[in-house]
Amino acid sequence: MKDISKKLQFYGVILRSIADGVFTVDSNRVITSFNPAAEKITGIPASMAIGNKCYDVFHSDVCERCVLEKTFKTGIETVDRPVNIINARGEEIPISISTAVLRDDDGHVLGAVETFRDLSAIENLRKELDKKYSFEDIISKSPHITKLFSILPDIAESESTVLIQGASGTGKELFARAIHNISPRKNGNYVVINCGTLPVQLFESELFGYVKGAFTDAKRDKAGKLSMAEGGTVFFDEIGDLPISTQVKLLRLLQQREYEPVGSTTPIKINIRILAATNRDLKKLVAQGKFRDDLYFRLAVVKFNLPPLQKRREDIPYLVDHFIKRFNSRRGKNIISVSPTVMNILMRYDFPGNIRELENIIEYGFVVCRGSIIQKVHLPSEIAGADADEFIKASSSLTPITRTIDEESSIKQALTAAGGNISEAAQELGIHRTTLWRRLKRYNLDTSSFKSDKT
Amino acid sequence: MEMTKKIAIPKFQENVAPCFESASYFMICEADNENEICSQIVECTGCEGFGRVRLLQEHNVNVLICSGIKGFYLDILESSGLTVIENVSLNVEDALQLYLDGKIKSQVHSNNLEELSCEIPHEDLVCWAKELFESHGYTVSIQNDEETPFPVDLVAEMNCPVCHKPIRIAVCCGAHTYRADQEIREFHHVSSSIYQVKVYVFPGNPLIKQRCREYDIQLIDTDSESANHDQKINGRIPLLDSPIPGHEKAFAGNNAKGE
Repeated sequence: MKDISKKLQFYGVILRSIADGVFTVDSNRVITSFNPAAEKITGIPASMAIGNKCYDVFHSDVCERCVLEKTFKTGIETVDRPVNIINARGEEIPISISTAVLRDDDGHVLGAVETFRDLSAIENLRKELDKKYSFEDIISKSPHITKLFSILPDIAESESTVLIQGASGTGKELFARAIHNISPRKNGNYVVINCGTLPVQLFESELFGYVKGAFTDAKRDKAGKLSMAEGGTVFFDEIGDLPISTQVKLLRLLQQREYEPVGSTTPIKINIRILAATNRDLKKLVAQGKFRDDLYFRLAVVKFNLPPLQKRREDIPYLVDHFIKRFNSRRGKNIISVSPTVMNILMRYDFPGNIRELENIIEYGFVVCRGSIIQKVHLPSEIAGADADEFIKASSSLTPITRTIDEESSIKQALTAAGGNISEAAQELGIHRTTLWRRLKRYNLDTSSFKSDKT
Repeated sequence: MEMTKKIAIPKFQENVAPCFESASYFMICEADNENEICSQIVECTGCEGFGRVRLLQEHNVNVLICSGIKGFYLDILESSGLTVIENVSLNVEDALQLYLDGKIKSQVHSNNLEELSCEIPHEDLVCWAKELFESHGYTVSIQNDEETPFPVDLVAEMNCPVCHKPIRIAVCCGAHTYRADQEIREFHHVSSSIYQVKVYVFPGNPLIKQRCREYDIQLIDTDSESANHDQKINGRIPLLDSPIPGHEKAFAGNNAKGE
């Protein structure tokens, strides 16, 4: 008997210490145990999971074809089957599951056990490699963006040309890629052409290709980038930077979906979808005569703007969490979050570089932070410094010494008025009583000496 | 004038489907203020959430009652004016009736950052909590060496008045991060074999209290007048409000937080 209880104790320790989620269910699929790793992965404490049906905890995409039930019925164990669950924060978590039936010594079924492994880190890295982003990978709670999300699938399904406008770092490429990845052309190639980086002389030959003898070094035919996109999508980034001389070439491609390689007179038909993005105001460029109006109207069949980060500040905490997760899996670190001070600084910062700048700030924090929380000292000096300047501007012009003397006398006054009651004095001073408590220690003040004054 | 609205419930067998994005059937019913007028079952094939969003939009649904739903789709639905009631795990008919009776409502999402953060500097909370435990007879040590796992700030110790064995309390003072729920979750995973009790110090609000309850962590609410340094010690193990396993006798007649 002692042996059994010892064994159970050991099993308990093992289950608590392993990194894989483990839970058991009875024959009605009611959860009977839930280890700490299962709590971490699902975000649901054991106290809330135990006693509930497993599908009410995991909300998996396979719950309607339950793997555990199949194991119950057939006795066949499942090994490493990939599924997706929804955690307590409404995020999709990819996991791999394994199941087995639990029987007593007589072979009667007692229940089943499921072990599961969090594949988020691997899945995120794979997504980064394959760039298989969908709209669900775009982090935003901003009403402007969520409204966009509800129409983007229809836009993706259509064949229309799309123009995405927004400042640098607002995620234009991510949106373009997501449109391609859920469009009927998702199995075709996605070709990016950065209009800002191609020299005018090379633009045509790089894009359309050339035939042998087209120019001195054209010793054989060469296909252009466009031909790689046959059946897929071409994304013209920074289209506002396209010189006016090359705009006409693009116009024909947009109008007729055909082009001629340099040196050839035979037009080639091509089946592509065109997406374009710019950080410039194309309408303004049209008015200034720097962008062809006919090209603009061909491009802007469907047009949407991505707001800068300072106009969607509500997204900052979610983006911070997202980047922390990403860098944790990339760098093998275990940073939990940022301090409240850091979040305060980020919420007030203007982010001229938008989301890319926020990502860089968090990456910098990862490089210099050795603990679990990114503190103000882990921010780039221009960000942390900017905040300090603001703070000094916001405070009074008193020197630190005067401020301290002022603070001590203010505290004394408030305590006298409150008859030594810390909560009342704190309320009077507009600070929390825990903060007042610390100040009292700092100035060596004893509340009891103020008690008689009120009475 | 009676208002009619359309309510959709993803259906799996007779119950609310566990996952909105993969539900194959939806019950869509029209109801006036309290009564169901008519209902129909609509099939939705395919394996992604957008199809379901579109289905609800096409049927002009006003309310979605579901179990699990990704935050992404919840945001889309809410931004297009739908009311979403999530985490409902019931029989479909019961769920509908409870909704019509006004017994289940849309909840404020647990990601409300205002409720999860506080303005008090972390150092102030540590200083305040240390004094609080000391004033109640505990020996308190500050955990600031690098080997101490985040997020234990203080360890408060006293001997059990009944068995005289030492009781070790891990104290996490909030405001390490901007989200109290993260801290509570991390604190929960601090080894239970080293500490008998885990105490979280933070300004209490219903959400924080709920999170602490869920993770079996005792909360010392900095806003509560009962968490007072000057209060007389009435309990035998002061400041703790639920019994410690193995020391239940010491809690007989223990009046929580010195009240």
